[in-house]
Amino acid sequence: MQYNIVFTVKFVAVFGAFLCSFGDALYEDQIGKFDWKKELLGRVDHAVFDSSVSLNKHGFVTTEKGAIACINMRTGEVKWRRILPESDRKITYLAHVRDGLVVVSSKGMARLWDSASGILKWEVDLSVAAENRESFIVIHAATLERSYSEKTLLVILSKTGLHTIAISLTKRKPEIQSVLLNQELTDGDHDKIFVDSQNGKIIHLQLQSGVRLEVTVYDADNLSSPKQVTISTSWLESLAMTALLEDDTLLYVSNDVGAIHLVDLENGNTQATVPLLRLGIKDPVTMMSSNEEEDVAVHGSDVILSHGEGQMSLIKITGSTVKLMQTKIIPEVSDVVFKQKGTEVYAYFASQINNVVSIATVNVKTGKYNDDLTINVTLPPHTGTLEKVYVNMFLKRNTPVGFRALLQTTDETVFLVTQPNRIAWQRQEAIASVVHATMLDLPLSDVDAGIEAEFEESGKTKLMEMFFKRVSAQGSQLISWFNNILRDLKEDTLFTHKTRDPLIQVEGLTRDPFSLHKMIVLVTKSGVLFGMDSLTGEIVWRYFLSQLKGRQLHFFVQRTTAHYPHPPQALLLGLDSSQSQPPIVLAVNPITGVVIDLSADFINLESPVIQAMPFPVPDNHHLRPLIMLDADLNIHLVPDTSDIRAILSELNLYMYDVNVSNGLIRGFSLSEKNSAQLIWSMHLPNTHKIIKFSGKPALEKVDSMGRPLADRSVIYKYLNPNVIAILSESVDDAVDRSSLLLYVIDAVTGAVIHSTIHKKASGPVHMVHSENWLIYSYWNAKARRNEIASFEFYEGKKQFNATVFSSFQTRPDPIVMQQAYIFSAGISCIGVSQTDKGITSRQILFGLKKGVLFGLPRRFFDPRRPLHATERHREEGLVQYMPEIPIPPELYLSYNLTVEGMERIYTAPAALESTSLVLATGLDLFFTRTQPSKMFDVLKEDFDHLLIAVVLLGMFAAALITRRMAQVKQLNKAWR
Amino acid sequence: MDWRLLCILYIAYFADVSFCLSKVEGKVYLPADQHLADTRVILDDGEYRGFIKVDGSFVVHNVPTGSYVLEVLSPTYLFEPIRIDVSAKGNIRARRLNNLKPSAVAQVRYPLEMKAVALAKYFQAREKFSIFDMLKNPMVLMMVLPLLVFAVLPKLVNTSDPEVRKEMEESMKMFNQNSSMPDAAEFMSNLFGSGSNKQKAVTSSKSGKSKAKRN
Repeated sequence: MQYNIVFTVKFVAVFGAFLCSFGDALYEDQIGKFDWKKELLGRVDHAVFDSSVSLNKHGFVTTEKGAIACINMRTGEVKWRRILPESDRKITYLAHVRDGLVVVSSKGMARLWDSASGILKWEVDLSVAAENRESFIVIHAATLERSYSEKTLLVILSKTGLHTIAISLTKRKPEIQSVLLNQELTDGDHDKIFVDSQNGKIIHLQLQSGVRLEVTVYDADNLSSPKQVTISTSWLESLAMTALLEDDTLLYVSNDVGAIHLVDLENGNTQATVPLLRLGIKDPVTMMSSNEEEDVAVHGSDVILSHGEGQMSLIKITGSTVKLMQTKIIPEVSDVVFKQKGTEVYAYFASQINNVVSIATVNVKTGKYNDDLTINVTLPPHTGTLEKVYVNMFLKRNTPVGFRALLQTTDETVFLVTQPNRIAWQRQEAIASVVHATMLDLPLSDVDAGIEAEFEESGKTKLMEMFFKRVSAQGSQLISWFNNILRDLKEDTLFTHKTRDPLIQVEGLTRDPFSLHKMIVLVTKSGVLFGMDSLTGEIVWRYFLSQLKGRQLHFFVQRTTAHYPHPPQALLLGLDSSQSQPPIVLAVNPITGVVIDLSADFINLESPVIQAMPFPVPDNHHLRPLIMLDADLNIHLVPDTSDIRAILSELNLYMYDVNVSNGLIRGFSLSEKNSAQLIWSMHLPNTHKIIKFSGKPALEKVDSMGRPLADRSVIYKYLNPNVIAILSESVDDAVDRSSLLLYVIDAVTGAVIHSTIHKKASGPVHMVHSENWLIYSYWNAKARRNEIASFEFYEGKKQFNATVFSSFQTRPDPIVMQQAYIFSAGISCIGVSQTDKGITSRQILFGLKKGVLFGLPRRFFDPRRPLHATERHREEGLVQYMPEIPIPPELYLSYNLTVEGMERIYTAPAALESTSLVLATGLDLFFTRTQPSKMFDVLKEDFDHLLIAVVLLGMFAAALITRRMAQVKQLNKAWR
Repeated sequence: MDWRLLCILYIAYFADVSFCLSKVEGKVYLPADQHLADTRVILDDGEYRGFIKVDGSFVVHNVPTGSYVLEVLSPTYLFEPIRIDVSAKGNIRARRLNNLKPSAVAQVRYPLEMKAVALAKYFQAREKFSIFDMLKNPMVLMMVLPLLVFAVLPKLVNTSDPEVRKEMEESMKMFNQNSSMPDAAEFMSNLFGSGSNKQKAVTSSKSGKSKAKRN
């Protein structure tokens, strides 16, 4: 117990010291006022519904990102969510069993979760039984639900064995049985297990060399003595064309022979061979349903064959006779699902034509198509195509069954569709993999824009005309203000807050005076673009282009909303990762989401684009053209006009390119019109590979050129905008020989400004590079802890050239100051706050791996922090050096929320100098704002207007009263 | 016991090529079992995770040989992080995390017993207006206390009582005596005026006036 006390004391001491110096935590009543969090899941892998017979509220999904979630099927909200460990994220199997949720990971962890609360009931590590635990992989799994006993059997096929886990309601601990297979399975494609819930059997199918099927039948209660049958078949490419039927019959379709074969599993003899032509099937069979369902009893002895152009044939097998029940033409079928509830068995066909998805239903027992049980929904525009359908069938009182379906589309959206033809909700899971985010100012309101327009055409109109225009514009402003007041009075909302954010009182998507309300543009990995309202996190627009998937996406804002009447414009550049396809270039209006595809102009590009950068100056339409450099050093411009080419030749621009794969860093001059010249290049030693590089933010605003010291002199910052920092990690990753190499390079001249080596250190590194400082985190391999290195560059006490910086001037080498600190939490990303004029001190933002967004003032990373602080140091605002950086919960920007899987932090300035907007992306999306030097330019929220008014009025009244009293007293004195 | 030697032994274990997957076990004790569903157990920042059961116990599976940091994360409570060392043979040692001195060994009990150390404080309290807080302000104190002394104290003393009046007069006398002490300025002028008297001072002022006239 003693250590606990010591620990608390230390904690309290650290906190105490901290709060004295900052006290900059949130107030509890500020929760949710300006921050919001979107809890996301990622691309859905598996989905199941509550297995109860009647309609139930909950559905469960697992995703690519290792999330297991319970979703409320009425609203689409996440009820609970669990994230699997990074080392074991892939989920092979998901099932809902009575009141529990079974999840089997590919590395052999089987877990049962309580479906209501999400608390773990038990977990079983199946790999324990295996000899080689490293290569243990689960291939397939199924659930055997036996109606007569209370046991439910989970059947798992791994590469080395077959395992069953008996889940029983009475016993807490599951019973596990395992048998080893004769030989280790090569991959999962040729093996499949089926279960027969009626007879309590487990059947393992293995396709060997295309003409032999190995069938092993196990008794579910006793795995030890399986029956093995080898069936020689005509050519079978995969197991997709085989089906197991109820009474130990194997059915397979061979398109080569053009026949359906029935095989008895008992002895392996072929019972019947029925030519497809006799059933009226002329075209080769393309898909056979019933394969998806693991339980043989679900589809019984019925199979649906899809052939020709959307022809669906329901085939019934009784004994050795094969009968065609019905054929219907359903074009573009993407998925067929069998569902059984009680005695009802239905098959569902999901198809998509353009953006209309329809789900048709057939009663398998009678072979009748049921038109009442059809859902037709129109998916919203910019949605991908149907990928997977999960059907939830339930029994109803008057009609036998009802159903609803979870649709998953290629743009990673999940829809729930219900009868009659309704989309109940949708979840945009693409947002869980954001690759780029930008926060843009909203456009001005129409009235304000009118005044802006006046300036735009000021050269053309006459003085009187301009005067009248101005008067009318301001008149209309006044009228609209009155109208607003009147409307508020009518609606009785004059003194109420219009939005939940106390500082944003302008409704709708127009700019507020503090410019705190922004449009967030998200570019996602799956090729979906989102426009999001920063106030609520609602999606304003979306755009989907399937070709963007898998490409490297870059987003450049060319024109902001500040240039009325020109619309804002941004460019999305999608580069092919393998560099074989031409780039995709999209011109996006970031406010409205209108996209113009410019890719056609670049279709004939001969070599891949290696680098792109927007112009540092805008053209005469306030547009910053994009320069693209291809591998043959040709320059391409978007838009490409002769004017812009002329500007380019005057600009004297330079570009750099870092090739991470071969360690080559190059600098180019763009002084000639059509091609770039290589001016310098540098090869990193081949013992190291580049893991991170970062330039300074373009067009960064720096307020002060130097720092005043305690002796009243000034040390000037080295404000070279062309500096890039390159960090490389040693190829040798042994603890003793690992190292990190830092190069700080002037990207114009190629001059190395500074270089450092960290011995016994390795990645991952996260870096922030701005003004005259550089901060990055790395892993100290020897001491096994995260550390942060901080660098500052100074010119010295004299400024070389105060007006303009040129990399070509020979100036003295900058003074480099550096310090390192211990950071006791895992870091997933680092960012820095940004403000309008750059006056406010910076805040370093950390995305911690434990799901916390943490902000610390930059002065904690000041490399001039002294070992022993004196009065002079305190005067300069230097904190005494402590090796460990404190991480108190008071400075969590995300307070008690968990922001899972953070990947990047984006910041944007507001018009308020004190405030910076922060967006953290990753699995979750979190938006907030931060005031690194407290809110110095707006009255505090808790400013007591009433108290001040009362005090002032009181003073006024007291002054009046005392004046009167004094007069009376003097009068009395005079009379005396 | 020489901990350093033990540590070296452990490191020797890690360097061994043989590979072993172990499980790390423990139990989380939460006051009144609140927020069990929100509490997470992570090893090495989420590379490995343990899930808490209803009774508070957790197991982190498939942990290879090496050294890790185990953390219990809860939105309400703070827990102390623990360093877990897994030897090549699968033996597990738990010790307190010491980032400053990674080799220091202060072992804790294994299987782990994770107890909440403190309540996590994320927010600062709003300053509420209260008379008492205002009175504690030094500026207010400086103004209010003398006011009390000058305005309220004389009222407290009953001046109509002759005895008290006598006493007060006496004390006033004392006060007067004190005030008849030489003034600092006077003392200085006396010092530099080389034994001058009040008359001199008067003359000098006169001469000042005459000078003014002359001008």
